Amino acid sequence: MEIITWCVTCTVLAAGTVYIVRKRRQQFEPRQCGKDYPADTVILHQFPRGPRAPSMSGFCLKLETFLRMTNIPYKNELGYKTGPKDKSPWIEYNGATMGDSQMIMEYLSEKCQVDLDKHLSDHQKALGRAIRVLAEDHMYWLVLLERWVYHRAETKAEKLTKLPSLFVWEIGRRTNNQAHAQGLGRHTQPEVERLLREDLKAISDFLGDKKFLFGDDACAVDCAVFGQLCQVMWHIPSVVTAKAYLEESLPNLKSYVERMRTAYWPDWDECVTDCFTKEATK
Amino acid sequence: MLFTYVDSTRAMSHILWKSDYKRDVVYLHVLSRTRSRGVVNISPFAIKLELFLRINGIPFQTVDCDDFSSKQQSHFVLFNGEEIADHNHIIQHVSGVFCKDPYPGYGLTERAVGRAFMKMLEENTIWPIFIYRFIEHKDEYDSYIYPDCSREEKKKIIDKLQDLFERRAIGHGISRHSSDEIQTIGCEDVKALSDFLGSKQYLLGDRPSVVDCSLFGVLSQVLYVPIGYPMRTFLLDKCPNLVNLINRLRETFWANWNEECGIQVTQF
Repeated sequence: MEIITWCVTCTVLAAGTVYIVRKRRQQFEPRQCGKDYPADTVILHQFPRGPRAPSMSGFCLKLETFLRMTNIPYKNELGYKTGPKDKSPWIEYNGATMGDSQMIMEYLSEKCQVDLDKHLSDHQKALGRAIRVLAEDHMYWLVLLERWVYHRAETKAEKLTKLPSLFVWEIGRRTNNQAHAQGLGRHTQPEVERLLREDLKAISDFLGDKKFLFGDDACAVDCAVFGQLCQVMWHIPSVVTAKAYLEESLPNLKSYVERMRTAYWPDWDECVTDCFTKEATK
Repeated sequence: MLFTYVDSTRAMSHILWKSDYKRDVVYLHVLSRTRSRGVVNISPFAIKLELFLRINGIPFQTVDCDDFSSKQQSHFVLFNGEEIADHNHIIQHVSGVFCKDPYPGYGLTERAVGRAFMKMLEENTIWPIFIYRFIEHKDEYDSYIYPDCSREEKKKIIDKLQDLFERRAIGHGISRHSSDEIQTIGCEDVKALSDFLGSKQYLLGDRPSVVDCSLFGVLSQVLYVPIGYPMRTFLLDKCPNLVNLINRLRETFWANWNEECGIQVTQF
């Protein structure tokens, strides 16, 4: 009888957690430019500030870095509400509502007449696309597996999340299923760790002694790669071998991340919560 | 046994090493050639893997197999008594054993570039193809898959593939985009490959590498299957250098491709 009670309680708690997590990620409701938000200002909807970097999402960090790099006026609205593609980040801008960081960057580049890639040849732009996909469609999944599936206990212990354990369990369950569907979740934990180190080394080898990925001036793909590398530097637990590998064995990559941070995030300390011990003021 | 689709809850089948298998020969277990037309295999990764073995002169034998590996993939190898799953792991393993370099003669930067393009092909470019043929235009693709099955059996397989890839596309995230956006992503990937290839002999330079195998595995699925893929139209209209590379890889390293495909491949 006690076992039955325990099973029922766990099932109810788990179902409740799943419901609350889904409810929290509410969908947006359309708003009116000029009435609900100002014109000519990007309203950037993204997740709340992170523990050690401004966001635990590489895509949110990518987009905000892009806005800073291009000096496009923007205003943050932090929360868990998702946008048109049920994703975050998303934006509202002069009546348009858009999701997907890459599509947003391309849209704003056109609307605001900025071009971070104007100094690149077609050959370099092609290569930039491949490097971006390496970071955002391969390395991204490996980091998620490390953070939420293999080492979620350490993620919680190192205060990289303030969510209750059952929420962390639900995120882990979803991540595991998504990664399995995507394909990378079918590998073993040692294989995932090795793949992550190999991705970091590839980016490091490509960067070489350059200041940014394609020379002395940063471009759009630097925003993407910076966003994902910040997750390795600051938002995976120290037990993950790739973190130490980046910090100790890839000095050019570590310097690159610091260079991007210094250049585009001089107010970094005001945009982090120090493992949720303080409110971010920006 | 007919094609059994990948199901994350299904238990693994036990694959036995056969007594007449030789040592130091790669036994490449893939779907039978009779399961597809236009291309040798509906799996781009099985084609990538076999092309790599051919280019590098690694002794191998294909084995018709409807079963799945420990990673629930349709291609896997048995080699010296052990099962090795996943095309990238297999290539890494056999390269070590046979002392072959997946990036022969290329330096660190080229290898990094090769890795980036390979991940783009395998994690991004392939998805508009899967979505077009397994989900949105399965009727159009009908005559290029499982031509050896009855109409009723084929319908069950195609419906299962649709269900599988719809679920996988949700997990991947690409299904959040519209159909047009998904195909635009594919075409932009093809353009990037063409722009980077330029006038080079192979993607990275003068010698074929593992990324050329990946490119062939993925893009042969559109070039040699004449249905209305937007990526195919883009490839034929705008990327003659890529078409040339794909044809050259086939002619140089896969002379019996036509015989194995079930239909005569038109030279595009």
